[in-house]
Amino acid sequence: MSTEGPLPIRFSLAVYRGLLKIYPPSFRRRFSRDLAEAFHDSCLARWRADGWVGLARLWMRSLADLTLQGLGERLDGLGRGPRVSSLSRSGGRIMNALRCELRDALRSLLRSPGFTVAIVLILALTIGANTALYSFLNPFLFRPLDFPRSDQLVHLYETDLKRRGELGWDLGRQSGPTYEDWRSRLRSFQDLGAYQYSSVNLSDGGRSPEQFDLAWVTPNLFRLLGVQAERGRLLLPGEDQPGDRRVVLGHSLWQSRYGGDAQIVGKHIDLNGVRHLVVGVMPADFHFPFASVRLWAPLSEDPSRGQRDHNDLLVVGRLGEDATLQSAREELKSVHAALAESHPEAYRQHGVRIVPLKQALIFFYDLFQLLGAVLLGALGAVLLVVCGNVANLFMARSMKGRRELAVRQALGASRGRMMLQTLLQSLLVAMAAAGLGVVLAQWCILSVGSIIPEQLFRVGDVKLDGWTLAAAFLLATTAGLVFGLIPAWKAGSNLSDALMEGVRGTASKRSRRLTRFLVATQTAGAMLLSAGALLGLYALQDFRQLDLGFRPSGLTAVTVHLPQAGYSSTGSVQAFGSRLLERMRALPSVEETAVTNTLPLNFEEHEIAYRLPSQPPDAEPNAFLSRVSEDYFAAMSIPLLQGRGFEAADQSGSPVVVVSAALARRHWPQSNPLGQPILLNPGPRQEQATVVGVVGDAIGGIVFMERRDRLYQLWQRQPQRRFFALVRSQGPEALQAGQVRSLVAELDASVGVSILSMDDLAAQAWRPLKIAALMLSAFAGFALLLAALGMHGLVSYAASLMEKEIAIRMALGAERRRVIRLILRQGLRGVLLGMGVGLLLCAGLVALAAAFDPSQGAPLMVPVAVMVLTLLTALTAVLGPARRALRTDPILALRAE
Amino acid sequence: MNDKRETPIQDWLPLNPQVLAILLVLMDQDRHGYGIMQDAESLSGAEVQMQPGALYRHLKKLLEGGLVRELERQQVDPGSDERRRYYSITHLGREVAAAETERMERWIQLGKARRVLDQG
Repeated sequence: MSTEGPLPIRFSLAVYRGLLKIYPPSFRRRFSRDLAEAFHDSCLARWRADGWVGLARLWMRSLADLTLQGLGERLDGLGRGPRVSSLSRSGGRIMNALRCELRDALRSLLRSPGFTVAIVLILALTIGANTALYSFLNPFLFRPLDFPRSDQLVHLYETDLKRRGELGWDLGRQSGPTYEDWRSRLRSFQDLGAYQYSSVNLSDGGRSPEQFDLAWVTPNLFRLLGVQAERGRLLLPGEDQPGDRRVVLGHSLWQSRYGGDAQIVGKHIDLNGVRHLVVGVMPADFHFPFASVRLWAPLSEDPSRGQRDHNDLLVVGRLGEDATLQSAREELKSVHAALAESHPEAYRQHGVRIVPLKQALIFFYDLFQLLGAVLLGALGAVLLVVCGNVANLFMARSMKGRRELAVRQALGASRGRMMLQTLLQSLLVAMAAAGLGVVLAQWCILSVGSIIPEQLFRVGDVKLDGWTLAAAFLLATTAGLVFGLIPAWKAGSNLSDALMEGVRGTASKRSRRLTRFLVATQTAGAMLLSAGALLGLYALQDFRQLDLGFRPSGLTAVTVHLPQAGYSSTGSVQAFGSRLLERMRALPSVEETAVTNTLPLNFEEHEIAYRLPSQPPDAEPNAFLSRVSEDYFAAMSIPLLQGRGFEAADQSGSPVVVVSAALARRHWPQSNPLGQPILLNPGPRQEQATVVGVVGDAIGGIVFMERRDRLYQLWQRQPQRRFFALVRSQGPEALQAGQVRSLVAELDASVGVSILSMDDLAAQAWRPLKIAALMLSAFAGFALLLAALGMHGLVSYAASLMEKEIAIRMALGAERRRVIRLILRQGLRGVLLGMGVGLLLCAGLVALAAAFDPSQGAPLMVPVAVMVLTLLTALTAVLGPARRALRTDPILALRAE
Repeated sequence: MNDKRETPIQDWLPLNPQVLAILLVLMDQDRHGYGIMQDAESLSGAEVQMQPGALYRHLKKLLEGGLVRELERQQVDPGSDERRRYYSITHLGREVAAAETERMERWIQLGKARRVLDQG
């Protein structure tokens, strides 16, 4: 559609388009283009005819139209069918009356532009922030999964009883036999399916090989989820037999690599060097288990899957029609108990859990939930303060206007009509704020949404949510409405009082008490909010001080995933690794190279169970495990604290391990760790190793994990086909991605690589924390600003009520000092009351934070800082009006009546 | 609500003036949304002033009731590439408009018989 026209028209159109969200999506899909077009035409016509005045009039009508029709259409959508003859004839007349009132309301708002702008800005910020935050959390926390009857879908898993309560480290995997036993014994489920994921090299002749994430699934999984293929078909039961190699492509992969080739079904592609037949393409909105997985193939036969302690499967189930989560949990518990009895060694330390599938798929659901709760709580508090503020401002303003209302009423205006005025004013303000808020929210969503990694599971996209907008809008309007209505109501009920008060020109006891109460609420709310934000910052500070333990600058990680074909023996993998390192080392800019199977900050970790011979058999601590080559510590710049690193001679002979300082401190706080024996994987296949060195603590795969217990083993002893080659290069000739690719291609053209800069990874890892810190600081600032604005408004209102009193006192020769004291006492009484309540709330909050993380202790600085800040804010708010009141000429103030 | 059930003509009555205005405008010729708004205003001597929201909600209901149908988007003028959605009245729409006019006619007759205008 055309968007030409002068800037005001284009701006109006943009805001109007944002506001169209008030209509339900079905209506928008059908008519939003036409609505915008008609609005645009009307805009142009009015602009040409009457300029700004015409545009303002049009906006007034359009806002009323949007509210009435948008809400009407949404109500219709809630179950009432369409009615054409429904609107009564009086509708048009009501609209006309409404238009008059709207015009009056707008004029009245424009008469006090400072008030209007302040209130619109405050509301816009709040609506924008709330909408953005909710829209952001929606795909992770609130929106249901996009599968039929998704409430029946659950994740079943074993938990490690020793690590109960550790955040984000709970989701377990099952062995093949456990899955089979569950599937055959559990009656509460329609079906169970299993999956795992990994990255694969995809090659298909023509193009260079690429790495993709692939989920290996049991063929029944798709049917269990209730999804259909977009093209071709899904995997069929029985297609997981050896030799049957089928694969289903994701929509985005089909588009990006095959250009949406209509003939793709029936073609062959190579995954890790093995030919697979493409049987289908999934629809674009299908993501499982997360968005970067672009291929689905049947779980391949893995000989170790027969072992009961080889846990590598994730299990999904669909509850039966009659089953509940609770009944399923109980059944699983009893099945698990029976299994534990017959296989005690496999299930000794394990419990079982069932959680809704979404909760399981979302990475760190518990952390997300916590973060979401904190943020939503903070925003809820902001909203409360804002509502208080809006109420205060409306109240203060309408108190001032009480006489006008009283006079109007005396002249015959009905109370209903005056209340309608207030209603329309708050509605207009809220609409303007909503428009601005939408722009703000959209901006936030676009800037934050683009940095969410694809590996995070989410339902649908992060996008502006119409209902949220409507809710925030409604809340903002209600706040203005309720508090705006009180004075209107009062003016209506007690006309003579209002007129008398005007004559007296001093504040009544009642209105003073009310003002004081409002100031107190405001202060307490702002204190609580600032304290929350400061506590958040305090906790983040702890994270920031976290030391990575290695030097990321100049470090590049090359992910290599060798295909099974040609690399089935450990010797061949090892040889490839050595040759790759050799070639890389020969590049001019390269200083160090190494191989590892885990990469810090890469969202993955491997764990190993171990035991010291001196510990009782049931003590089975876990540590993170890294398999690294000899030069790893040098390449990463992880300091060697004691003993030695790995040597070529360690490739054979008795196994040795290097441990992190944290692990050494835990077990040998007093004695020398060197030469100490460690039993790895205690049980029938345990292995004894000797500690030969201690290195500095380095951060693991996940930035929030504070544990740094880590065991290092030599990579060459058990090389795996997926590994990372680390290269440290320096200077102007720093390593180029192209160089690495061609190097790998020279060694084996079928191997695809992906290249990560450790600097980028480190920056990425900190980014969520930085955003959180930024948001919290913004909150704290916003809260204080709001409180200051609110206090300022109220206190100056209180002072203006006292203006006459002050003038009389001054005229009678009162000392300035005493008058100032009077104003301060009046103004600060509410503040002090609020501070008392606020301090109690803050103390509660600090205690809560301390209980949540006892290691940190209670940051007593927080309430003190908040108190000082609040007092300063209050003083500045009070002093301004006090000075103004003092400067009033007594004669003028008295004559004004 | 896409089922185009035939509602008996009487069920549409009495018509909202805005809806009647839309039907009357379309009796003359096929129009697009903004055109309907303009014509309705001029036809009624500014008595009927519709905003886009009201117009399209009425149109939605009229489309669903089969009183109005949508034409393919047409080229507005050869010089521009702007395409608009045009609306046209159906047979049922004409019948409903006629029934509403008859209904109003009966009231006018009644008013005249009681000499309402003379008493003013």
